[in-house]
Order: sequence, then C-alpha cells, then structure tokens
Amino acid sequence: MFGKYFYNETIRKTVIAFGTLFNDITIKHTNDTTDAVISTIKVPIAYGPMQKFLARIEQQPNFNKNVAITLPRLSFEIVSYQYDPTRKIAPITKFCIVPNSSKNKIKKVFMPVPYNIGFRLSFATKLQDDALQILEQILPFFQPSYNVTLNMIEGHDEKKDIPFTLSDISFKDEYEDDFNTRRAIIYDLEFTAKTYFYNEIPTDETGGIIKKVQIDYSSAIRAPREVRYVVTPTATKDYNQDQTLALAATLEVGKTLMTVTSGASLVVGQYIQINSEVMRIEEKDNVSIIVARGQYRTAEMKHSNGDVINLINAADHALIEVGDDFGFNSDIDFFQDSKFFSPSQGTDQ
Amino acid sequence: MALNNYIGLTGARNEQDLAQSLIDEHIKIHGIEFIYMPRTFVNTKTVMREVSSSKFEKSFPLEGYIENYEGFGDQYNLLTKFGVRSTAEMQITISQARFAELITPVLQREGGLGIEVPVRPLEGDLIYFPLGDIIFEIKHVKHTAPTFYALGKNYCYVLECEMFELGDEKIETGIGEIDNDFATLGYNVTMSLSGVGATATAITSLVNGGIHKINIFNEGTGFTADPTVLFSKPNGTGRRATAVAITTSNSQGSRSLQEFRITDPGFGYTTAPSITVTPVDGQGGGVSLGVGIATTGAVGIVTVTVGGLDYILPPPITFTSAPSGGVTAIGTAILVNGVVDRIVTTNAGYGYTVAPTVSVGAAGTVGVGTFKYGMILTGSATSTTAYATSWDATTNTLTAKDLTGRFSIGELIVGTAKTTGETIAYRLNSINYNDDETNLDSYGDNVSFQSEGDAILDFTEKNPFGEA
Repeated sequence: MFGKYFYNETIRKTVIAFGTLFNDITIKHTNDTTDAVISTIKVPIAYGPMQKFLARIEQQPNFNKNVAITLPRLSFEIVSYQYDPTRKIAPITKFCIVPNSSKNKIKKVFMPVPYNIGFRLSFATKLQDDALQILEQILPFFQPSYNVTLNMIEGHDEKKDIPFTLSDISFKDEYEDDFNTRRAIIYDLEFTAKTYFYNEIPTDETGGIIKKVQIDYSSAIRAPREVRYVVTPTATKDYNQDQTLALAATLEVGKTLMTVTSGASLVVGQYIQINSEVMRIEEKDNVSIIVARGQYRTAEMKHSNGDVINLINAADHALIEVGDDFGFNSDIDFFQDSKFFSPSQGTDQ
Repeated sequence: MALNNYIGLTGARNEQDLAQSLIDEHIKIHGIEFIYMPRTFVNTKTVMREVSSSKFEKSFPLEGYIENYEGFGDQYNLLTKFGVRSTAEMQITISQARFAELITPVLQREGGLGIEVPVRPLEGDLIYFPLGDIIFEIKHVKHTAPTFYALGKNYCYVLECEMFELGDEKIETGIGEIDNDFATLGYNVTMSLSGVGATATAITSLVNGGIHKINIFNEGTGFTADPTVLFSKPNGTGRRATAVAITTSNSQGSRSLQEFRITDPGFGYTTAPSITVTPVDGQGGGVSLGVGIATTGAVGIVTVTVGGLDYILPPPITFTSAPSGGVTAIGTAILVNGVVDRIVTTNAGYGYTVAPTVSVGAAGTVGVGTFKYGMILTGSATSTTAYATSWDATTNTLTAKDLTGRFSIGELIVGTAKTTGETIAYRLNSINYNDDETNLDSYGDNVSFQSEGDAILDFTEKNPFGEA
C-alpha cells in the first residue's frame, strides 16, 4: 500500500552507535596500599537479545560451562519507541540529500520522522568497586546527553546529530538474606536516542544544484524587463585536474614572477592552481607570468620546477559540489526591446 | 539437674571416633574425589569491604558425598541479558576429620593465604567437580548437619555451593584439567610474537703501560651510591686510565665497593698510578686499594662493533688466552635495552703479543622455548607484567591475563616460570586488547561494534570513549 520496499537500517545504525560508545571501557584492580595495578580487564559488551539456540551453541557448546558466567559484562537493549512531537516538521516538506557518487546532484526526499528510541544499558559485576569504575567512566560524558554524528543513509551525504540522553540510573545490590544466594550487582542506565526515520530514498537523482540565478526588473507589474541581474558561481579551486601546463622554474614563497613551459593558454585575470595554492594572473609576457599569490585564502607555498598548473575556468565552475565554498560572477544587462523572459522556453520573447 | 553419667547422648570419645570412622568410610565408598582450592587474598578493598583480587594456587584432593540426588534441577542454564548463565547448585558433604587431617596441616605449614589459616572450609573457596568439569564456589558451610551433635559432636561439613562466577581470579593449581578451563575464560589479550636474537661482536687492541687490575684490600663502607674514580696521569707520554666503581649493599645498611670496571686502561704508566675514590655525596670511605699496571700487552679499550639484539641477561665475554707467562683479560658486557652497549674489563690482563679476539655470548634464548600456563610475563621496556594462559607455537601466539599496564610493540616479552625460574623471551610484534575471539564465552562484541561503527559514525574529532 505504501510503495516499494526500502530499509534504511536506522535502528540498527543507532544500536551500533550506542554500542560503540561503550566498547572500550576497562576496569583495573589495584593494590590498596601501593596503588600498583594488579590486573586490567576490558569490559565486554553485547546487544542483549539474541537467538536462544545461538546462545546455547556458542556459549555452551559442551553442555555445561566451567563457571557460571564471567564478569564484568555490559549489555544493552532497546526498550521503547516513541514519536517525538517536539521535533515534528511539516510532513509534506521535502529536502535535498546528496549522493556520494555524484556530489553535484541532489535527491529530493520527504523530511524524516522524529522518534525517540529508548535504550537500557546494564552492567553486572562481581564487585561494587568494578561497577563504580564503569559508572564513573560513563557519567561525565552525559550532561545529560551526548551527541553522535551519524551517517543516516548509506551512500549519501546525510549526517544527523543523534543525542543520546541519560535519563535514569537504577541499580540493585542484593547482598542481604541467607548465605546460599550469591550477591548480585546490576546497574541499569536508561538512555533516549533522538533519531529519525527516513522514507524511501530515490535511486536516481532528481536534479542538480542551482548554478544560475537570474532576476529581471521592470518598472511596473507585467511590464517588459528593463534590467537583468544574473549571478553564477565560480570555482575557487581546481576540480578537473586539467594539468594544462607546468612550471619551468621553481617558484619561491613571496615571489610573483613565474616561468611556465608555455603561456599560450593563460589570460590575464584568470585563476590557476599549483599544488594547493590558488593564484591570479596579473600580467603575462610569453612564458613569464606575474601572479598574485595566495588567492581565495590559500596559503603561499614553494613550488618546484615541473609542478603542474591547473586552470580554474568554466569547466571547474560546472563541477562545484554541494557544500563547497565558491565565488560569484554577476552580470547586469539593460534592455529596451520590450521583451519578457519565458521560464518554460528559457528565452526572451 | 545433672545428666545421667551412664546413659547419655553426649557420647564417649571412642563412640564419637567410631561414628566419625563410619561416616568417613561411607563417604569414601559412595562419594567422589573433588579438588578443594582455598582462596588466597591478594588485595582487600577497604570501605567497600570487598576482596578485589584473589588467586587459587593450592589444591587438595578430598572425597565428598553429593547430596543432590536429583541433579542440578531442570532450569539451571538461563539465557540472560548478559548471556548464558548457569545456576547449578550442589551440596557436598565432606568429613570434618578428613579436612582437619589432610588440608588444615598443609595450610598451617605453608600459610600464604593472606588471612589467618582456616581450620575449616571457608565460604569463597572453590570446589572442582571433575565429573562435570565445573568449578563451584562455597557459599555456605553447614557444620551441624546432617548429624546435629550426635553423640555430642559434629562429623561433617555440608558445603552449599553455586557455580563460580569468574572475574580476574588467577587459578593456577598445577592440575591441567582445571587450569586449562581458565586459559580462555575471562579477559585475555592476544599477542603475536617473534624472536630472532643477534649476537654482538667487539674488537680491542693492546696497550703498554696500562692498568692491569685494581685490587680491593678494604671495600670501605658508608657509600650511598657508586663513587667516582680518578687515576693520576702517566708521568710521561700516555693517556690517563678511567674506570667505574661498583658498590653493593653491606650488613651495615649502606654500600661497599664490590668491583672496578676498567673502561680505559690508559697507557704509558711506568709506575702504578694513584687512585682516588670520591663519594658522590660525601658519604662513605675507608677503602684500601692497589693498582697493578701491565708493562706490555694489556687489553685496551674494547669497542663494540655490533651491539646485537634481544639480549635478556649480559652475555659472557671471553678473550683469547694470553701467551704463557701472561694473564688473560676478563670482561663484562653492559646492556641497554637488550643491546650490548659497551664492554669493560675487570682485569685487563697482560703479556699479550697480539690483540686478543673478543667473543660475546649468543643472544640468549630469544625466540626459543614454550610459554606455559601461569608463567609471569614481563615487558623488557615497559615492565608491564601479566601471566601466560595459552601458547600456540605454530603461530607464535600468546594469550595473557592480569595485565598491569600496556605492553609496547617491539619490546621483549620475558616469561619466567614461578617454580623453576626458567626464562624465555620473544619479541612483541602486535597485541590485541580485545578478547572477542579468544574468549570461550563468546559474549563480547566490542570489535564488531567498532568495525560497524566506523562506517556510519562521524567522530570528526575523536571518540571520547576511545576505540576498541
């Protein structure tokens, strides 16, 4: 009824993110007098629920265990799902995500639905001191939440900060009663993960990023355009690695005279990139070029004889990706031909 | 009202002995042989009142009668959020007399439990049940059951046991079937080792008129550290000799001279030079020394040409024998990080006509030998210790428990057997602090979370919790 099959593995990713937070906790036993370390234990963690037969054959392959259990252990599980109305966004709103395979393309998808997933982290220890060591390694990071940035959709540049909020701590230390029952120390920490569930992600790109903005001005409503303002982005770095020419001599920091193998393809005012430094061509005399160093906030650096020179031109402007820094080209045109712009035709009529 | 002196329940000594003997015999006929392991307290935490570290290194075979005639019950294996937990319980009846006869005297003789030597089985001690290959922990000892003061005495202990929960307790009983169970249970690190030691080489030359040896007539006293040594210069052309003094602890609680190591015998001495021993802090003195010089053919400065690799102990230094009438030099190697740093002589010899050949002992037994369960492991650079739990000689893979810190890649892992003092060493290539794969319990998923998380998590700066 709802459409095609899709599965974004959001819950599984949230489980992994939660498990990763606590997979490197260690406890140490020290000598009370000398403080010398006696032993170190890395606390194992696992997602609690599992297939029963798998647990039996993995953890008790020989019918009996040699011991009851090894401790300490960390375990966690999902305990609740709850819609979070405080993060609600208009349900028919769409937004754009960018596929990793083509960063100058976008896909339009519906806004994700906000849900809170409840997690319970439990740990069992033999000693109260072990439990306190674990607890004190966890609590300082949750005030009361800790944000984890998650790549929500595989193959796409869609990151979300997922706060894991510590909401409650409870524990039991059963030490009273008869001597036949062993002491049990178990702590339960309740967390809430504020995550999002995404709708189906289209397999094909639905459009590119906006590369041109054109505004027509007129003196009255429905009057012919008289002034046109057009803005297009310009790349501030080289994208296509055109390797048009190369340096014919070393270019030191602070020097502006550059010698190239051939100056034919260079024009004054053009930007070029050598290694990671962007320069602007100020003057040109055959193979001797005067440049302005360190353009677009790049750092001046030494370049060696033979280093490749890449041009920053229209080919690079077309390759600007979502999220990149870029500059602008603006054109202003004046008209007296009484024409209108037709968006559907893309021409003046 | 006084008790009847002729007929009563208090019993006579011989009646009590008879009852005890009958019970002992019954247990021997119908019981099985358990292994009793008393707990050694390694460290006790104050305030929280916990024994935070224990070990079980003593074991005693002891017959006992199993009271659980219905087995462990139906539901003693449970799947919990922490994995599979066994809740098997067992009640074992043992003889009070046999315990007092077999175990108490040995514990009293050997001691070392970290607590007062017990005269009864203690709660917290372990019992190995050989038929099920299971370790039980004594939760409660009943001393009045099942014969409540019959004939005025109790004859049995009933040990109420639950299966043992393993933390970081060290279990080294010397009984293979017990120790093997713990090799891969609990937290282990896995080390990949290798070892190819290289032997050092050295050369020397001859000097005339050099220091031959320094005789200690009176080793002095009161030193707190090794004093400095200064020789007088040769009278004519020559080079001043140098040496270092080595001290050792004495019975007065301070230090006295033990030996001199000649770092350079000098040359050109025609008469014995004077030697001045100066304490570094002004404390100590009273030494009386004699310096001998070699008119011809003493061993000069020994130059280490190749320092070698992976020495654990200073190797023996051998000089080829001096010709008849001469004295063969004696040398000592000084190690720095397993490499021969320098070679000094305690006797530079004399009478050599050609420079002797210096032979340095081979680089120990690095890369050779078998780690055994319980061997104490020490990192040569970090001094981190642990104990070995298993060793795969095919892949040179060692697992270990109870690390006191972190080992450093490239350092030597030296294993020392507790009883024989045997040492073996290998070089550490890599170490895995996760035990997901080696732990027989197969519970932890730390590594899986890490590898899966790396693909979806964006810790642009750093994961504050660390990475497995």
